[in-house]
Amino acid sequence: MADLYELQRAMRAMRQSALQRGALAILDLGSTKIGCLILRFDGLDPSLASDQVGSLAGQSSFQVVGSAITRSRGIEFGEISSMQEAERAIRTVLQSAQKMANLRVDHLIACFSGGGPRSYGLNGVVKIENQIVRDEDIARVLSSCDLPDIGDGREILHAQPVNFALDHRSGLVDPRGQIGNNLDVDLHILTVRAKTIRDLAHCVKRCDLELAGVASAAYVSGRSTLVEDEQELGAVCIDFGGGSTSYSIFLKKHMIFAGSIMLGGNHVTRDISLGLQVPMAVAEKIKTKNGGLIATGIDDRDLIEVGGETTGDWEHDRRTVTRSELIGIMRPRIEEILEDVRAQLEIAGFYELKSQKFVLTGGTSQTPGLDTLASRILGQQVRIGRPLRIHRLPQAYSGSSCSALVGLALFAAHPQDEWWDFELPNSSYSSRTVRKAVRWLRENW
Amino acid sequence: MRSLKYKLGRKIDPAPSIVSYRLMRLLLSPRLRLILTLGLPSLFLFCGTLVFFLNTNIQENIDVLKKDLKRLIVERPEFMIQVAAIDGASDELANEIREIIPLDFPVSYFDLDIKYLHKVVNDIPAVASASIKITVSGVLQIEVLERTPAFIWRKNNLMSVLDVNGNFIRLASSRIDYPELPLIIGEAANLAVSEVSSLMKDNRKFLDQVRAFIRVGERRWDLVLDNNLRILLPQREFLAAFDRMMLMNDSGSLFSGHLSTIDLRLIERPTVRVRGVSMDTLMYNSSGDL
Ligand SMILES: Nc1ncnc2c1ncn2[C@@H]1O[C@H](COP(=O)(O)OP(=O)(O)OP(=O)(O)O)[C@@H](O)[C@H]1O
Ligand SMILES: [Mg+2]
Repeated sequence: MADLYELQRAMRAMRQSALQRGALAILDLGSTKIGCLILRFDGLDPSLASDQVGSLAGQSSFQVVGSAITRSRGIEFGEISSMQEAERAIRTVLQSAQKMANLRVDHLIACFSGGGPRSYGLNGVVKIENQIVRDEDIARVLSSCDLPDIGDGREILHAQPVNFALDHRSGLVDPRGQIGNNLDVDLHILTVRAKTIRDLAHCVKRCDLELAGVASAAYVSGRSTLVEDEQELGAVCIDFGGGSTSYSIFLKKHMIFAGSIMLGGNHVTRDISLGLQVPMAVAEKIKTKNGGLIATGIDDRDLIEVGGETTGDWEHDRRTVTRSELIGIMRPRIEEILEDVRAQLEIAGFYELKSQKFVLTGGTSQTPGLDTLASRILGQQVRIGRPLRIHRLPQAYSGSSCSALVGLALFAAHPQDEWWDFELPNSSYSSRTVRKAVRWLRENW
Repeated sequence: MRSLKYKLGRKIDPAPSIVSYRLMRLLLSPRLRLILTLGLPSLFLFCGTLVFFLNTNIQENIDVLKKDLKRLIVERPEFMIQVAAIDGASDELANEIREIIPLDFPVSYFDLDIKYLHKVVNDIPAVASASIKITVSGVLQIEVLERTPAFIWRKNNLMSVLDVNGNFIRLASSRIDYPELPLIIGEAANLAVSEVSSLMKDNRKFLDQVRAFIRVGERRWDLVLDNNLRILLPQREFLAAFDRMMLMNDSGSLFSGHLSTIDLRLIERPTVRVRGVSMDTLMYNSSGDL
């Protein structure tokens, strides 16, 4: 378990050097749109850079100086499916964002919703030697966790200590300096397919940038849309994207579970396209303009011009459809997604938490009536979440489809995985692990 | 009909080429930007000044160019002065002025230093005062008030022409050039010409006989007549003494040639000296007035 943090340590070092240079690119690799922000950091905030655990990465104030969004190509289900296409799309956003910022950036943090995220809860126990908990004890307890079999070709994306317990006193954020005998830690790790990260790293490298970090879209969406209370008391953020729907459960300010479903708004569009016999572009337009999920009496009389591709056949080109019919096409798919999410949340044990709040975000969450439908299927407290406001973010990026992008910017400025800073105990910190880490970096970057 | 436009439009990919992307990043790199915005201009400036100051040839060329340009403006015919007209001067003086003014006609208005010219002309001894102006038609007009010669003064074998006030006008090569001017001789004689003038005022006729006025001891005058008669005037009240002598001379015999000196220095006791030969004559005609 000793080499668990090597990837994070390497990326963390890169992120720190990016912060020192003062510029960082943020990339949200979505299935329908790719967004990019250029952040400029105004130096470390001295008031926050104390020697506490919580701010080791140097939280700093930042502002958005460049931004760009493009339609994504070569990306399906939140992961890269065609390298060339994806590379060109990434290059497009990077160029326009850097041009707008008038600033050259060399480091990039990316997030994606695919890669089949899987959550694991780990537990480690260690005996305290000198009664007082010190840094070495935390390092020891972190390395004492048994890593489960995460499967072949998978990589740890996030690993965060969620909870410390000292002699039956649970819920400690920072146990250092406290007195006790047994130190207990709950660690949450999120794994994704290594190929997804590797493809992403390759594309970024082809654009002459260095990958300084990767994050799960589910996690960063939660960071930007959940308010502090929700993060503290327990809530789930569901990001309805284009190719996938991902969710993350937050408790005590930490993500404790995350996952995704390979269904999203694009499937709804495809259903409409099939059901109404119109091209995808037209179906998308109909969906965003007239779509809905709760049918009322008036919808039976609300006629929608389908139009579609001009075939020359007047009868075919001037078809109309009532809104109820459209809702009839859209609703089953959304219900399916919501039910899948509910099933996974049940497995994760979310329904055993005291507070059950659901925050819906992502592009598809703008569908009218989704909150009503979700409150019937998922639970009572449902709201549509929009991302937090960050400094100098253009208005166009404040919609719910950009919550992953904004969350990633927050994540870059205030990373939560500061635990990598603890030196590993000498016994387990062998040269083998270092070599392995170096090899991993050489292979992938 | 189905339009082809839609299909074609979809093919357009906004992605920049990898070359243009790299170029953009290169141009945005901070070091290159610093070089382009600050380094290069200052380098050019530095090199330029270096070349300029090292290469005197260039500087000379620029000087020549500047001069040429200046010439072009200065030497426009409108600004050129073709001739100098000298008024109020004798030919001799006019020639002298022409020689002395440092100008080669035609000359430009801008190259003319009127003040200096004025000084030069005024410094000519024969010129009492001068005024210089430039007329619209491009003529340098010099108006001169010339000093008129009144005396000729010999001192140490040098002949000079003086005006009424004793101011030096010019050197004279010989007495013959100015036969009509009275000759004055002696150290500092020029300072006392007014006395000669006052003497001459009423006795012009008599003074035709005077060959020279001699200043003696820088305080009194001797008159030497044609027949070598020397009249010694007193220092003070010489006019009265002279008038008295003229009264004594009513008969006209006083200056006849017997006398070599008439001494009027003691006004109440004038003395005469008789020439050797004349003494005999005197003895024969001892009935004379003396
Ligand atoms: N006003 C709207 N009403 C309904 N659906 C919408 C609306 N606006 C966008 N969408 C849908 O949202 C989806 C895109 O959402 P989003 O931008 O969050 O996805 P993404 O981040 O690109 O994909 P992913 O996160 O799954 O990789 C598209 O399917 C689009 O049809
Ligand atoms: Mg997304």
